Amino acid sequence: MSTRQALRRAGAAPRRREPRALPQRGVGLKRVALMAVVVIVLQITVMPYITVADGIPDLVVALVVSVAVLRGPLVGAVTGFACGLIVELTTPIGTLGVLALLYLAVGVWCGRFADRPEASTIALPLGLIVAGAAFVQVGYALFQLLLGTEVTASVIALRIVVPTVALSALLAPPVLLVARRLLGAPMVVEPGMLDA
Amino acid sequence: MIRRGIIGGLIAVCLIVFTVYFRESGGGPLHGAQQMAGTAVMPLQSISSRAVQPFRDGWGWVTGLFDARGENEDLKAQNAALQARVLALSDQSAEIARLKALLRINDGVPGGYTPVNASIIGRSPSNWYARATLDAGTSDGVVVNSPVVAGAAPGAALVGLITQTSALSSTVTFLTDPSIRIGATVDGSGGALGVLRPTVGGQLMMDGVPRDYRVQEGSIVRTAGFSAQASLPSVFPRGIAVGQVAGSGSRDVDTFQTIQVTPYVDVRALAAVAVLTPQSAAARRRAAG
Repeated sequence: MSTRQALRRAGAAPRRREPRALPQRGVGLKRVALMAVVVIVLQITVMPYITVADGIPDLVVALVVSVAVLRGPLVGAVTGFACGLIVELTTPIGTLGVLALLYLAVGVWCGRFADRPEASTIALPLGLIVAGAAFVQVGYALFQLLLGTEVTASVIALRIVVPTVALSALLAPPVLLVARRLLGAPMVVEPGMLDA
Repeated sequence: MIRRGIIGGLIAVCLIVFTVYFRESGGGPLHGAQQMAGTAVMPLQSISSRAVQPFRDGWGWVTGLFDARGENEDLKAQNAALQARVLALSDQSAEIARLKALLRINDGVPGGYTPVNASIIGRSPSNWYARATLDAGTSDGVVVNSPVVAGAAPGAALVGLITQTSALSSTVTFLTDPSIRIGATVDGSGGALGVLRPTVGGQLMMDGVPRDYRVQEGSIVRTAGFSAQASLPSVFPRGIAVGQVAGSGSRDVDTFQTIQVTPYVDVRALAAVAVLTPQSAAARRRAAG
């Protein structure tokens, strides 16, 4: 007789297996910076060549969401702002400040989930990465439409947003797992903690 | 409170930066900073571009297989065999092929221009802009509005134009970028003139051609030498091949016909190009706009 059967026969409810707790680590700003450098290098050198339709995987959004969920809105916002600005500065993208603003918004929004118990799970950050990637693409599309770019909604949705979100979701788990490994358990970082 | 202040400050910086960026000229401080940063990471991009070449070939092979699904079985088999052959090629043989393609460019170079060979070392990480960074800059004679060509069946074929330069690098905006318009003409049509603009999937559309011009499928589309604004001279000299007519059509009520054009060069697969640097006074005037 198995343990579970024995427990059931004794009238005890089978115990649900708790997710393994992430280890507590420090604020880890240097680790965040290191991850940002690696992700930006990959984003500007390798990712433009991985295309499906007109979609290009967005590793930066995966990093920003991972950091925001593990360290809160402030670190998420600064990471998003810095990554977006560096990507726009170092590549022939044609804008400056737009991606920084969009990634910053993703960082702030996702950082609000850092003090929830689900922040330690895999499912929540992955869902947020998908939502974040879609937000950045739609936001950038709206900006392009404001600039007068002629493109139909179906092209934006089918050739750009959907492939980009799908590719980003496919490549996000390694970024998320590395971030969890380096940063440990979620904690909301406040400005006072940085002084200490 | 402090957190909100920091986040609000960053948002304000973003808004100020992109407002100033779009209001200033191409030679403004933010554009300059962007060029400097691009030049600073150029060696890194150059190295990584070579390092990821095998992975790009592999990815191209995989996506090529998906693209071939709609074709018949023979074409699929042929495509797979060709793609397998591409995979089997060493980096050295790929380099030789690129150099041979560049040599063909000399066949179609218009007078007053000298081709400068350049490698693509960085691409736009956004799908909205069809742009790339080249490892040739003003020190090689490259100036803004220099046409960029690549080797194709008819010789040099247009792929875009230079939109930003620095001493050692430059940015090419491909003809598939939404901002590009090209005055063009169709060989054998009796002088049909129109304006080329990009559509989806790397294709081009030629507008403004009156219906009474008869355009044959497969005809070569070339630059006309004028801009989209009527008779003003274009930055593109006359006679550079752009692509082939894939089809044309119009409704009974239309005055003009619309012509689909397939570019000779798939800019997504390009690794090397030639920048046509203006040498004659006329060519320099064109580049100056």
